[in-house]
Amino acid sequence: MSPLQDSPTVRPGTLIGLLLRNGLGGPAAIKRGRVTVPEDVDWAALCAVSHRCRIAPVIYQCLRGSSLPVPPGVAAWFRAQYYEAVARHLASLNELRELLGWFSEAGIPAVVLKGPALAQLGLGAARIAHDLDVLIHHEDLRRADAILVRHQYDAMPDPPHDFHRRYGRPAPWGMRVLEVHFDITDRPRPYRPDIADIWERSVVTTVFEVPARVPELGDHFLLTLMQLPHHHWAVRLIVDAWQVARRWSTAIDWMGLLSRAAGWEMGVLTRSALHTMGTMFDVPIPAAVMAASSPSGYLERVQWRIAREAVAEQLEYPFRPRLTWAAPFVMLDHPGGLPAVLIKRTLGAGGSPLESAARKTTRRTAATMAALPALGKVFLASLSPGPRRQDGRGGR
Amino acid sequence: MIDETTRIRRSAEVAAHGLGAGEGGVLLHLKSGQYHGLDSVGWTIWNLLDGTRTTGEVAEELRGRFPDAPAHLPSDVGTFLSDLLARSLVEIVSP
Repeated sequence: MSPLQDSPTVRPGTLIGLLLRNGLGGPAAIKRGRVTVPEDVDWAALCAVSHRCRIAPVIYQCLRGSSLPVPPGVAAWFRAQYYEAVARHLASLNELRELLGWFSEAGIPAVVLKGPALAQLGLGAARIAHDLDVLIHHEDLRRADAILVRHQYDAMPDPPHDFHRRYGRPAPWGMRVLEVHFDITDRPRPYRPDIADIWERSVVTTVFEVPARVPELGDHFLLTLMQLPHHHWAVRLIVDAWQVARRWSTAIDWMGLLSRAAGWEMGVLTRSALHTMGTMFDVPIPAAVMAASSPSGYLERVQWRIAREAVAEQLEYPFRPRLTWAAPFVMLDHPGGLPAVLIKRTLGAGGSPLESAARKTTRRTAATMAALPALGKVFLASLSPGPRRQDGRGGR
Repeated sequence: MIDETTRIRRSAEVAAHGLGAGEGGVLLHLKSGQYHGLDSVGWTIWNLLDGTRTTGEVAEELRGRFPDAPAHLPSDVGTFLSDLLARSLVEIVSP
């Protein structure tokens, strides 16, 4: 052995996991002394991964709460990300206040989805959001459109979706994007949230002092998880769900949530997401729910493993996506629907309107083909049981 | 110009958000899109700028909250308020 040994540099994903557990895990995690943040840190990689995953502001909060000696330049960079997130949050709230005021004057009921409403439940102003999402009734769409056009919003030139319309409005801090949903179900996707029930269960509250109607807690949680496939299992959404689970664990009817998820045909997605959160990050999910979220049978082991690895590879530096692009299409309650989902994904609408259909199809097909080797490994690895939660609760 | 008898209030065109105990806050000017970070002392001063206090009274209030503040606190407060005014984050209340 050489007398000269380089100290191993801590991988950014490992450190991010530690910081998030330390910062978001609450006093119990710290008290148990499970979190020891190492000192040989590749700071540039940490910044890069945090930025790419859009979690730099929350990492900043976690760093502040840690004893890690952060270089001044790195601290300043994270602080700037945090301040910018808070400023964006303020801009969003201002826009939300205006928007709900116009809709209220016109007698148009609206439910605030995601964005500030989700921030209120979880990360607060540290949550990065670039757009606003509201749900209205389909019959109000024409009036809402007229109101928005009157206030300098332009319909964006996306391909027309059958569940929402996007608008943009220039603002001093950049283009503000508003998504007006009149349905939640994206037809090419296999999930079926019950929109009438979401309306019925929605509650009036205040979102950072802005009076607003928001989805009921369980609906909100499921709608957050439902975004995971569309956003390729984005770590920022895992962190969102983590925060909601941590803060509202006792208020959530977990078993009812699983039942509702199955009714929305997103049982596999929900259970795999909860299991991933519990096994990878020790998110405080009740043991019974973790047990109910464990994979059952070979095919589910494949799905669960894909979910975990899609999250894990996003935390790597440099980023070499292997499963990320394929992961969204395997989280199906009914695997028989997979060919239809893949065909719709390859040939269907969505993506940039500037991209030709041929180019889009080629790109999407190539991405799926590139994922095949990694998928093969997952299928083989799933012959053995999956990961077990460290504390022995649930999982397999 | 700001002197110790000047009354200053927060601009209605500014949105503000506190970052938690001891962490200051962030101000966003809604017209210009510029945002600014405040440390905890700056955030404390910001919350005192309701237009009812003179600059001198703000400095006094601040000294009450930070007993070990330096002797030149009033001039520091004046400089800070001038900076806020230059960025259109506050406005002078007409006598």
